[in-house]
Amino acid sequence: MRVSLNVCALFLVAVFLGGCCTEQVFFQASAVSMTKNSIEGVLKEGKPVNTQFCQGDTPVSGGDSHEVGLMDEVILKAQKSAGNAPAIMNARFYTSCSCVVLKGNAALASAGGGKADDDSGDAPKKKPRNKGGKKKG
Amino acid sequence: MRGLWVTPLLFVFAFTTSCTSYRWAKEIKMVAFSDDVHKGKSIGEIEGDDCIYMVLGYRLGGRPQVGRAIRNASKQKKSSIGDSMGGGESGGEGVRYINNLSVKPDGFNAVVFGKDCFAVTGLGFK
Repeated sequence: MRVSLNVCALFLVAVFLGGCCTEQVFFQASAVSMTKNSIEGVLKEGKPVNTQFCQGDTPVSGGDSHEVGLMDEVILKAQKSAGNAPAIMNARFYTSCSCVVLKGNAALASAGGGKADDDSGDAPKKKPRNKGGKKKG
Repeated sequence: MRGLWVTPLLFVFAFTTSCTSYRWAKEIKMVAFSDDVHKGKSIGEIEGDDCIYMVLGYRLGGRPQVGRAIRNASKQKKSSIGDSMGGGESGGEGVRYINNLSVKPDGFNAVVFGKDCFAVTGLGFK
């Protein structure tokens, strides 16, 4: 009886250890950002970041949407954890169980440049509003 | 009698868990394939995918991959049945970066023949 219990316990430990999640890289990019569409100037590598977002975690982006982008959330989380970095450089995305892990380096915009563009390149620009709505005569 | 308690609990569980759906990428503002991420010239909306074909339920290849779908989108490449059977990645010069990138599952299953894909859309910049 005791032997069979020991075997059962060993089996459970083996299943537990064997069931551990392994990280598998599924995508790599030079830079990713959830806040900037493009960045002027030269980007420099800052401190390393290692962030993960799992199904069931509270979305960082907030909002009322019930649809969550796993990569979106992990990028935003990484940028916020790196002090609102404009982007994450050398981004490597891994899957680990129901989580997405992002490893890379926080981007540091150079002092001379680093001006970020929040508009997409072909988006129509809004006309300036005429305050008051009256024409000058 | 005990079942009376279980049924509403099941409904509450189903309601609370079905509220959130997860996707790989909903709308990533920028994914760059080069260190040069200054504002470029838009080439408009780009699409790409990574598909695995199925015959009589058997997959001709592994599973579609998100990373390959995004790389295909950067080269504006649609996958073909040849890719499913071990075709390599090919394509011309890609875009420098993509704005508003989204990844959606796609495909169909008509029992005899099927297709399982990840479809990527976004705005390409060179």
